[in-house]
Amino acid sequence: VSLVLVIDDELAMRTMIERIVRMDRHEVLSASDGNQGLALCLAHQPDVVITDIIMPDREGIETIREIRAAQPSVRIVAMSGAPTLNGVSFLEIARQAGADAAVQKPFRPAELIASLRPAAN
Amino acid sequence: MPRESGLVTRAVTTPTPRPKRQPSPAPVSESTSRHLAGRLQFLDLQPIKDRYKGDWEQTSARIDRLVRMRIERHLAPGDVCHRVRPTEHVIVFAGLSTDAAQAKCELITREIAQAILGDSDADELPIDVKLLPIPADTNIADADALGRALSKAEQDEAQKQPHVGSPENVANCADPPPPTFSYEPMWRPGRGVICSYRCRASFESEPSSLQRDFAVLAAATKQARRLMLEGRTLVIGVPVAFESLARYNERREYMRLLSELPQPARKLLVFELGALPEGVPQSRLQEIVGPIRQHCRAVIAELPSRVTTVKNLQDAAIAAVGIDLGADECAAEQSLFEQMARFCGVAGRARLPAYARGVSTLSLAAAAASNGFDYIAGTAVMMPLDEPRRIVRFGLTELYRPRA
Repeated sequence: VSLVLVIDDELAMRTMIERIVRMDRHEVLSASDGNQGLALCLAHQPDVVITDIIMPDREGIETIREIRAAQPSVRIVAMSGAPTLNGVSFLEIARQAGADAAVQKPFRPAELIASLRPAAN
Repeated sequence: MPRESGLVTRAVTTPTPRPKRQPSPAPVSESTSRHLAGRLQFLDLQPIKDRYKGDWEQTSARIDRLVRMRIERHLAPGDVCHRVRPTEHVIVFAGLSTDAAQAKCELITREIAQAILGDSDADELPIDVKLLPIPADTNIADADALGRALSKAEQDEAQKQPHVGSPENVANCADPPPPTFSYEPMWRPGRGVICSYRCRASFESEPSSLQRDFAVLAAATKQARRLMLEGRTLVIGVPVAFESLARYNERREYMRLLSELPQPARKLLVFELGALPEGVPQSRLQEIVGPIRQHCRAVIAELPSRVTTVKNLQDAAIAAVGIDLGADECAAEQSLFEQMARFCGVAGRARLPAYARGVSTLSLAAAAASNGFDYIAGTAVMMPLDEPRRIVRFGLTELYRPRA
């Protein structure tokens, strides 16, 4: 059992991810923006962070950078439904910023669970 | 005190011919009890002497012609111009408001300085501008009578001023510093470039919207000329308030200044109509947009984010619509996210490109790009520049590049 932190500003999406993660027998913390997520991350030191990219009050890429700097060993999964701009996607930038995996929204539960596994198991 | 020179002597012995459009000496505005006279005075001729070495007699004659031509280009029917003193020209304006007359005088002095010393050194030539009301019964066709009326107006004004001497009075009498201009890069996320720059003016004390708009126009046209000469194809955004163009006289003057720009330079300008009154009839909008549209690349409009339809703007040939996210400094980012999504939907339904200004955080920039805004500007994208320089490749990688 691992501790997973879910950061997403959309309540419906956050609830769905929490459910998927719990089904895979992990404990879950959740935050609705990057600032809150960063605070929870520093306080609870989760094993995995799943974060959205487009969020108010500190968006995903900044959050990933900060978390990676504070906790180099944490596994970070970025997720986004944002389009590719001029051939570059937000998820590519997330990987460059320190994300270990990236999941394009909408995703299947198995995809999300697979992205957790290397660290969660 | 102005330094007298050879330029002066020649001018005194050879009176300045009157402009071609010299009107009859009838009062300029019969509905008012006074005329509005703009006095342009060279405060220091030394920069000219330093630049044009050699025969000062010839130089002064050339400068004299050049100054006269620059002023005459700006005279509207009914305006009168005289050289009342060797280093001093006075223009009597027909039917211009104080703000418009002030803006016009400043534009003329800038053009004169640029014509004499070139764009880069124009600031070195001090030319004082002063607007003075003179009695309506002044015979404005007579330079001497005009000079006397001006002297009287100056004396009257001096009597109204508090006595100088105390530091606060000295500070009050000082001319306000000229505005500074900056150019806000507009990122085009879909193309991954910055090729448009929006002109902004900063004043020490808040001017009227008309003064601001004329100053911005003057700065933007100067940059457009430069870009044209350098063969660059950047676009300059020129904000202008709806109310500045709502009155016929001001609109005519604005259009005249714009029409003086060469056609290729005009094609580098995009006018951004701001502060549109709610429910403005489409015919009125067309009346305002139509004349500008002929002299520029496009006309766009900045709107409050609460608008629910922009169909009337599309029908009035508005080419894009935008919002200023920085307008409400207290707004939470979550609410700005919602405003952006809503506004993009409104613009999309009318098939108009959308832009967002005042994007101050990466969250807003990312959300704006993700929502589909066609142009995004603000400090989160790039800080304003002192002048538009070149097309910049700018994509998500550059947006997220760590900055100092």
